[in-house]
Amino acid sequence: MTDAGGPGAIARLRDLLEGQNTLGNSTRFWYGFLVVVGFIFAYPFLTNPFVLKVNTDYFVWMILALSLAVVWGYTGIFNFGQTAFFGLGAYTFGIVGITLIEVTGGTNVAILAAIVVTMIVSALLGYFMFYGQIRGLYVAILTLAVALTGNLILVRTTNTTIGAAELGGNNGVTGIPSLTLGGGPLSFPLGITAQYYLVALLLVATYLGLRILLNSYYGYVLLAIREDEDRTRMLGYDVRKLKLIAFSLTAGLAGFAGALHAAWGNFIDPTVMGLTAASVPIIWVTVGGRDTLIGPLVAAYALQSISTKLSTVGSGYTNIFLGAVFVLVVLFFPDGLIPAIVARWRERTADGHDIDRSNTTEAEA
Amino acid sequence: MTTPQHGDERAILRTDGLTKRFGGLTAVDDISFRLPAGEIRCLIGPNGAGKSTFLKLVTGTHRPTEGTVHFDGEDVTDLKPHVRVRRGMSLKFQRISTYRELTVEQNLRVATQRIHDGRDATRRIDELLDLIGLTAEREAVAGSLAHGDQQWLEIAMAMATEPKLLLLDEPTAGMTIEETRETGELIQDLVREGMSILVVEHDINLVRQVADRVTVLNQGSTLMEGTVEEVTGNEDVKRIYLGKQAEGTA
Repeated sequence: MTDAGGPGAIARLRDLLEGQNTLGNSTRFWYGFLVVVGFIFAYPFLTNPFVLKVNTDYFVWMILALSLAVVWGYTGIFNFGQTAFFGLGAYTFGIVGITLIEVTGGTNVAILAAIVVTMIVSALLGYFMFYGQIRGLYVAILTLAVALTGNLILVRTTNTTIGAAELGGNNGVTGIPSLTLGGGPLSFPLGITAQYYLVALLLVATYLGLRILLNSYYGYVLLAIREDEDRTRMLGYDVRKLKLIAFSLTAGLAGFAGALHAAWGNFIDPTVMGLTAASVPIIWVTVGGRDTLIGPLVAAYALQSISTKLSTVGSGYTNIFLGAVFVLVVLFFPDGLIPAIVARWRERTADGHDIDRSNTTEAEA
Repeated sequence: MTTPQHGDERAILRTDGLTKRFGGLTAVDDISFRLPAGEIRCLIGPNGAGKSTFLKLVTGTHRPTEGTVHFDGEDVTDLKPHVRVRRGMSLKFQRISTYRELTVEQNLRVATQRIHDGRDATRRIDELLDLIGLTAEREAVAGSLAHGDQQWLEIAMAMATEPKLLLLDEPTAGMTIEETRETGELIQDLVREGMSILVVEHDINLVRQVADRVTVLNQGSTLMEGTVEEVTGNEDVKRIYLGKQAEGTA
């Protein structure tokens, strides 16, 4: 690890990816990771297109979960309206995609537009919040209000068109193009399997990219901001600016996920900015363990697949299930399930050297 | 603005006519203060004398109603706190403000990484851990440390930014006599390395141990300035402290 040469590349990569700010720094973890990724990429050979299609959307939700884990779990900015940015990205992709698909033949510009628009809007909101000294739960209230306002505006867009896109009020935007690869006249739309592979690849890249970020200089700063803003300022960091950047980048990631979602279903409607939609990612992240990346990933996938199954039983069961899981986890495992499992596992295997983070902090609280 | 007096060029910290009013209350009233480079100065005074407000004006947490702050020859009155820190000012808060849920090492990394990166930071963290005797607690969560150890961790974090001026707000609060003495020795070591230090302190034993000079604040103004002997022998100083006790505030 210290000397160059030999297996240098892998060691250097692990150096970047690993650190005390993320779970999973052992060789065993990476073997497990490779097995899971291998399975994901082999999955199309084992199942039918319908299952692939459903899983593609789960992967999109997992990207949304990661964005919320970073801004809320790691940075301490309780963004209750992350789905507002998800929805904004989806609508932007829909509007730009429908308008341009005939002209450019592809969706690259629409994806880019979705990211840029969400980042600009979130940066404006973030500027007023963070430079206006709004902190803590007020951020949650304000961001939720933004999502709900977005919902109210969108349901009143019947007969409204932007570009070639009909917003459609409650009925939503239909006919959104699927993702394309390539550029200009050489663009071609992706089939179900190709889209699955692309989104899976993007998910893995997002996870690894965020691990590098969180174990870098900026990861430590984000944690420091979560823990104590005043202290962090007096160590020479421009806290407001850094919060604004974190808020806007994670919103951009959510907007990107929103664009993928709109392309996946060729459709988006205002419920994406409703109260239920805003709560669901909060539940995934809380249940999985908000100051980890792996927890929200696992929880988003598990809870979404269970929700899908329940929704075939009857309406309403999904929300009751999610609500019950949320309450139970908050009561019994306030740091989330994955950190609790890791702590228990370390207790059993460790020689007393490993520090049990979750228990220590609880005992102190 | 007053014209700089002779010899001010080597003052690491200088305030001129510094005043802070909160509504009708004047918390800091026209303080003109000089701290020569390389000195340990103790700032004392009864509760409500304006010590904390004065520190907050120096760090930039509060904006002065009137007056200016010069740091290392530069007018920093309009600079934000984090910019002043980057210029070489560092503060140890009065309250314990380590990152309680992070490990000792994570705490120190946040503090050091702005100046050192990668392996240099690790080396610097090792040095700091050694200095404050917490090498064995490296992976412990900061909130689980004993009170005195948290105070030291805090001091180490303030030092990690490699300041020219270290501001310590009651560094020995809650420490045992032995810990207080060790903290005093640490402060003296830092000055030998070239830092200047301003300490707000109630513990007269620490003041006697470390102070080159003492500034006494009372009701927002400078009551007097002098050596420890001069200050402790002064009738006015005795009166404000005894007067405070006579009122039975304890």
